Amino acid sequence: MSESGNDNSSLNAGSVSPWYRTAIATAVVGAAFSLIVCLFMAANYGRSRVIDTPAELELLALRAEIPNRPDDEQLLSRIRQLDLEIRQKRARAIFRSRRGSYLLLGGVIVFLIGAKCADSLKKRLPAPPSQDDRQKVQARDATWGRWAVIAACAMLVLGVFSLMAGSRVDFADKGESPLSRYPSIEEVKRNWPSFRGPNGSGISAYTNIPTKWDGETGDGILWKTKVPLGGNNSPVVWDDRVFLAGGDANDLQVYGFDANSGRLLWTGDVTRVRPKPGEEPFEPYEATGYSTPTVATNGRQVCAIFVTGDVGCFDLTGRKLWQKSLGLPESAYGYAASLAIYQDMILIQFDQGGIDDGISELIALDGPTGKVLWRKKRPVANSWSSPVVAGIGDKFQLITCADPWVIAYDPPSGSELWRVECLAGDIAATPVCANGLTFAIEPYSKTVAIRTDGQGEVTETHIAWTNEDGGPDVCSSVTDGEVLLNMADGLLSCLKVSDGTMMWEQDLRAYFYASPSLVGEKLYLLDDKGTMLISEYKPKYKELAKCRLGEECRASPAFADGRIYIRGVESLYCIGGAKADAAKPGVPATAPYPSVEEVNSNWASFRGPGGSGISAYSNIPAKWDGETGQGILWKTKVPVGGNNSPVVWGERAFLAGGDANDLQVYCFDTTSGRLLWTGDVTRVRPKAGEDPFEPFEDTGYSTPTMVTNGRQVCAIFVTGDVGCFDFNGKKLWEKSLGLPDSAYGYASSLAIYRNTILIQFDQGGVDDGISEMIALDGPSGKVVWKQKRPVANSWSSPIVAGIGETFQLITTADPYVIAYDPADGAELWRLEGLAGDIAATPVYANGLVFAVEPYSKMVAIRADGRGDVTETHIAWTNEDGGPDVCSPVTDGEVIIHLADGLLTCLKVSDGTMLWEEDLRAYFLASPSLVGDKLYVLDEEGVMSIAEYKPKYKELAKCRLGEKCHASPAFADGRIYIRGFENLYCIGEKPRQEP
Amino acid sequence: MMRVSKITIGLALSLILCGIALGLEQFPPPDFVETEHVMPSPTTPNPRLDVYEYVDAVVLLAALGLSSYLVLRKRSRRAVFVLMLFSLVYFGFWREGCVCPIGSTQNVVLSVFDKDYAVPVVVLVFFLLPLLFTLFFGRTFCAAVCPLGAIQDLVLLRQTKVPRWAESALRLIAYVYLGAAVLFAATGSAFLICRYDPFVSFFRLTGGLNVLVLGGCFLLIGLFVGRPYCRFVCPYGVILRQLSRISKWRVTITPDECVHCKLCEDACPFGAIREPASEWPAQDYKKAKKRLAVLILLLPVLMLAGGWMTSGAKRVTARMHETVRLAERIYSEETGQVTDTTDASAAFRATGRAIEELYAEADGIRDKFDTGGWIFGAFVGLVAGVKLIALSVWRQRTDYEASRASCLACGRCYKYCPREHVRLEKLKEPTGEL
Repeated sequence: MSESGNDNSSLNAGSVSPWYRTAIATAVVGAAFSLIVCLFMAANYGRSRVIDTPAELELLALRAEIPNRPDDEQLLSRIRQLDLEIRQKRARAIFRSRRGSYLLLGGVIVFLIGAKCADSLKKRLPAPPSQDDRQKVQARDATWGRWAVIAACAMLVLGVFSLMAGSRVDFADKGESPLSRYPSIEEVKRNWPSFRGPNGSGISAYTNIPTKWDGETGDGILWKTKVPLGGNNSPVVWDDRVFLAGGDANDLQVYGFDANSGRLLWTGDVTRVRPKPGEEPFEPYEATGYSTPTVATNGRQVCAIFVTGDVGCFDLTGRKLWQKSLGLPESAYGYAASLAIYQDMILIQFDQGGIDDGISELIALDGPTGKVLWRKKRPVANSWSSPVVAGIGDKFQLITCADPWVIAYDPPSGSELWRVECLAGDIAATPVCANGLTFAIEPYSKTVAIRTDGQGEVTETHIAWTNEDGGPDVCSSVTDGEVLLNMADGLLSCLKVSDGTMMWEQDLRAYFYASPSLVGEKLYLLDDKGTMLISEYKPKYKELAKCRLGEECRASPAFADGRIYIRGVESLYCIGGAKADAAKPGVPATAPYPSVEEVNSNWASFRGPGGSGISAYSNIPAKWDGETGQGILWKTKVPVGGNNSPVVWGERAFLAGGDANDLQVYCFDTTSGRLLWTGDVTRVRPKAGEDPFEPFEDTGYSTPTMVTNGRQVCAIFVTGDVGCFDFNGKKLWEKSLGLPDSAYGYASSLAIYRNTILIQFDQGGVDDGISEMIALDGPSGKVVWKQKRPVANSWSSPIVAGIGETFQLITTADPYVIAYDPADGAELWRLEGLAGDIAATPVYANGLVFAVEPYSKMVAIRADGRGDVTETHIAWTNEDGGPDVCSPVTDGEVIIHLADGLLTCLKVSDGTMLWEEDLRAYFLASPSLVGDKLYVLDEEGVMSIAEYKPKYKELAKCRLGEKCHASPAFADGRIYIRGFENLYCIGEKPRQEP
Repeated sequence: MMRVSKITIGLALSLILCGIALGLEQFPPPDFVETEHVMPSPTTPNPRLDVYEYVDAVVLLAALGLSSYLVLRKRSRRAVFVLMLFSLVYFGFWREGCVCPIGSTQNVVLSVFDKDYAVPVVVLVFFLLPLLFTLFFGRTFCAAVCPLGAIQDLVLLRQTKVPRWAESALRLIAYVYLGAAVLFAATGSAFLICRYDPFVSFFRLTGGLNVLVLGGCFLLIGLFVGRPYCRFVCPYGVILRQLSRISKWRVTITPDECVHCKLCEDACPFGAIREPASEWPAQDYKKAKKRLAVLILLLPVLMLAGGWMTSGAKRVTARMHETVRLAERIYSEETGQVTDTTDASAAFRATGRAIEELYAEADGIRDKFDTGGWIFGAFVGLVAGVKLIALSVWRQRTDYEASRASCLACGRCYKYCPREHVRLEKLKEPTGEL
């Protein structure tokens, strides 16, 4: 076949075969047919990928509902039907595709035959180029060829460099650990991390526990959620998560619930190792079931063990970290020992068989990885008691009970500390500790008190006392250090801790599986019918209340702040209210705004409550060194810089940062310093033709300090862009107020009143009339009110001060000091008296508002006026200068301001100077008061701590090791300081404990 | 001009026939809710009996032998075409394109670097036989045995010449592809050639959309540009090119002597015919000498630069290995960059293996890519350098010749040569007239 590319039509004239047209027609038909088949196949493909996708998504969504509605036949039927329909459609699509492929192949073959025949029937003569061109062409080809190869190499190089510029993962760089590897003592105590809570004591850390509820009417029940699979294990609680386990013959599962709503957030499956062929299938003891041991958590992992010996560990989001099978334990009534946790170690008391079998063990697994850390053989028989980790002295002991030994181990190493031979039979009650004693129970027989300071075998020497008036079968004891309470078959007995003598007994005529618990001075007993008996127990038993759940219970309750979590045989209950306001009991957590007490106990805006600069806490550190790390609890890099000061609410600290590309809000965990989330605020870019924005160098993009009310956190940037987020980092709204006309860049921090964000948006000149006071609704961003202000651009921040029974929103600018009602923006009073670039924020004390004119004066204004009070309400004016940037601070007796390193103290009553002190440093941060101490932070990051009454007396100088422009924030026992690059938390390191 | 009526009838017939394309639902697929029928996987070939592998090897041997005979002795384009069709049907559609000599390169490489991998004998045969035949007879494998070449050859309709200078650069792709395929095969990461075989979807009449589109593009280009995959992409062709340069026998356009009639200049759709070349252009000679010297000196620099760059990209190239991908995913989960898990990461965590072990394994693989990257980059640098040198060397030729490396031995050029016609007793001694 000839395939010359040249067409010499004149030479080819008259040489076309008569079959040529037939060949062409064949080719056209073949091509058209192939094209049509292609289109049909494309449509078939698109249909299966696009049109059928919603049905598949619906199926996935329905399947996800099954755990919540396992008995819903309608749901199951719909799932089956949908599944069948999808499979049928898919099979048809595949069938069509297959048929189409063959047809397409046929069409293409026809096309090719026609085209090839047509081509061969139309002969073309060759037309080689002339001789003269050849050498030039060859030389040109060589030259161009070289350049083409160079260009190709250049493209390859570019490609490789672009690959190299991609993200790099360095496994050696583990990055900042999201959390410390294990929690502090305080964290553990605040939570209910394992069976019977911290140290297995059964004592609630909170006294604000409900004493009244009714599960049948729903009274006092915050929520009730069905647990997918049953089990006898008790709830454990960590922050806003509740964990349970459940199991049956098919599944072993761990559940994570939301503590506030009861919603089942995740279900973690633990693979069950099945019996080998030929082995008997496992049947658990009926009363034990598959899932009796209580899970354990340290706030990083949550681990569960099942009666089959299968262990599974998950992170708090439900992601499985590891699982293990320890083998089916040989346990007469089914394995029931709950897990214990020490730091990040999971501790398993794996007692099985008889004493002489020698197969009982204590096993320690690494929480994050499941690796075996240590394993100790135990000379004991199978038991159902759970191990406890108790703080004894300045160390910890892992205390275990079984037949015949009570043995204490050192948790990190597993080495045995002491042992006492004193028990026999089926040991089920878990030991408890108090006052240097461990209390162990032999069922129906005795209670033994053992001194915990022994070494080695101490049977003869360390038994403090033995009470042989019987002992509980299943329930563990509870002790407050004075008395020990035992519950055995409905008989409650109270023993003196000092010598074991019986104080009283009470027959409660009920049966109890759950162990007793103490809440303050009250005893909580949950019987098997789900009735909670609440009583006093000293000096005698005195019933206070009976609260029924309406469902049988086998598990012990868990206690949290203002709540009890009880597992019934089918559902998990939460008794209590929504998260209570810590400062004002009774205010529900869903309240749209915080109480005054809440605000005062946090540092929610620039210079804290009321913009006063006064710490609510006096336990503030007075010694640290950022360079050595002394006193620095943590230090975290802030992604993008800014001059705004930290704000703190509860366990969250917030900052904002901005550059030419990003405007961001950051949320840090105050315990670890971990950056929890970053919220992006969209920057409204200049329109085409407009000059790009360049901020004033000293101001940058992010000078205004944010505000929070514990529900929302809001930031404004120098570009006039405002963003508001909830505490989880979800953006609620954002707004652009437009680029403010501000000489040095917009720098006024936000204020907040209840859930209203207050923005002092001063810009331009006095006569321009473009300054405004804007109030935005925190949750929605809607404008609540807006007031024009007859002022020039300013850099001062508004404050919300409680004055008498009301609040005033007080602002300073050139030329007015104006006070508004923050609720509706109504102007209360104004005073004309300031001029120039007003930057210092006003302060309030004792009925006086103090406003500053830079380098000029301080004015004290009585805040009880209405209307224009220029002539009537100036209490005094001190014209000995005033600060440029730093805002003053006052304790109501004196007022201190800082101007260019010169600290000046004036009497509040009349403005007379008390003293001056040249600190010989430069300050951008405003001074703060902590009790009777003054804290001033200079630009080099050195904090001068001093007494300020009657005179200035320096007490300490603490260096940060980094420059600072922002003012510090104060919280309980902590200071938060923003350096140029990092956020520092200064405070005591908490003692690490399980 | 075709009559409108004929076109209309043709289209109407097509539309009617296309009803079949909907897969007439006269016989709907069975309702397999009741049964346990499992739909077969449409993207992988079904396993065959072992004996057929040996049958395939025998057929390959026979086809290579026949191809060599037809190209070099019989010099019959028609016969070569028929054999090519057979190869397309047998090795392509019947055997669904697997095993093929092109992909077998990777199997052989993997067996060299991985002691736990044993290359099957048949795969080795498929790899070695075409090389052996090329060593003796030139690229007769490409002519009539390779199904990938055959499908491209078949769709070539209107030949468009690729400029010689562009060909030099485009052929670099094949070398890079070969180097990458060897690197990824040697590290046990992926069989790149198989993964991106553009025509396997056509042979199997099904496949992923991306590969289908890729193959479709090659065929569309192939309508006008002869065998684009073979000339510019095929990694096996790189090896064949080098062996063909030193083959004992090769394709010659003329059966005996070249009469410089120039009729064969445009005969080759693959740009494999080299025209006579006279002496170096005098004005360029000195400049060319200097250039050549510089390029020779530059060669080691290019190799070093290529090796350095490619090894520098090891963290990216290593991601082709599933262990490294898994480690990076686990790392992202551990450092909180992602909150969910994938099936692979969940499965890994369920094994209870320490994450540090996985990281260590991934680091080890990256080290392999570091070393392999150096070699790969140096190889590409070497190729680029040699190409530049080759383009700076002026070769004199007196006759029209088929390029030893580029000629695919298709036999199209034979009929253009008047000496061939003489051989076939169709022409008398040339009189200078056409």
